[in-house]
Amino acid sequence: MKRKTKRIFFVLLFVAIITPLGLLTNNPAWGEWDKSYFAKALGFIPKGIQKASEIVAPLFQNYTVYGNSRIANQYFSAIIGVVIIFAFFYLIKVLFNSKYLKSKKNKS
Amino acid sequence: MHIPDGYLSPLTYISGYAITSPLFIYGIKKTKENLSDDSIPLLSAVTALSFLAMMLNIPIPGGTSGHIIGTAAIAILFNPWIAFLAISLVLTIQAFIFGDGGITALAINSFAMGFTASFTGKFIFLFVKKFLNEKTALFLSGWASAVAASIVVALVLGIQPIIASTPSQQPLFFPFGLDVTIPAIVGSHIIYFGITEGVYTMIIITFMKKIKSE
Repeated sequence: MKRKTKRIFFVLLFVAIITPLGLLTNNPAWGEWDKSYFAKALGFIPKGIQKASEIVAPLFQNYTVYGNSRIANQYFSAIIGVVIIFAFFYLIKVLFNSKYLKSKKNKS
Repeated sequence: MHIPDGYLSPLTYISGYAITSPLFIYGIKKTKENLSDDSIPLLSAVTALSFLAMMLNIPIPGGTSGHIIGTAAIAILFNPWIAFLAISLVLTIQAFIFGDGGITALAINSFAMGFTASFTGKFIFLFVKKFLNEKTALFLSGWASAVAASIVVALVLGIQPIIASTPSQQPLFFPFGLDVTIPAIVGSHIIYFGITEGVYTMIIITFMKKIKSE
């Protein structure tokens, strides 16, 4: 990899380090409330929202990967996410290269 | 802007998958044509940056918050199809692993924050650059990408009470109509999150240009 492009990784590291700043607010995004919000705002929970967790469920809830520390969870999540993204693209790169080599072989 | 599970009627999210899947498949073809092997590390880095940026919730008045998506920056650095796919990867990880955005709603979220933001961002950048300086074009591109994505989300959420209610008019899924979702979601993106997106787009592209020119 070129030395120049390496600098973007420092930016990445910096943003990863400051991810706990995202915890400064407890406000959810508009329209990303949990069930209790609807009970409070409407007096009832719409059936579809009530039953959502019975249909599908993610591996972790709301970035809670391990334990109770929200800051640690923010870091765990940041690491897991970034590792998956890099691994995914690395795989694509490997696939890319093998295909390229194959077509080269066929030509010669 | 990540629509959770349970907010959308099956008709909506199945339509979402029906619309987004062909775009996604075409996107893979376009990405194969346009992505070079040595640009993959940079693409990984800006995609990871989008993932991290989405963890940084920015509070706004009124008890809610939002975040940067980073789609426009990838669309300008690479191309809109690549940005659409890269952000879809981020959204998939968030939905399946971290519970941020629904699994049923993934296609709609990917259409809004991926496809719509990506093509809007790129188009606005190219258009504005003809008349104004590049920094302004970058800012407006980021701003417009976030606003456009928010329009899709507001429309999809706002039609839920119309298309899915019990006979007694009790909503089955997302309960608020367009009169509420448009001002709340689009409004907050015009005033706040469009601005942060614009600044992010400007900083990232300027930084990348600086690196390249050295």
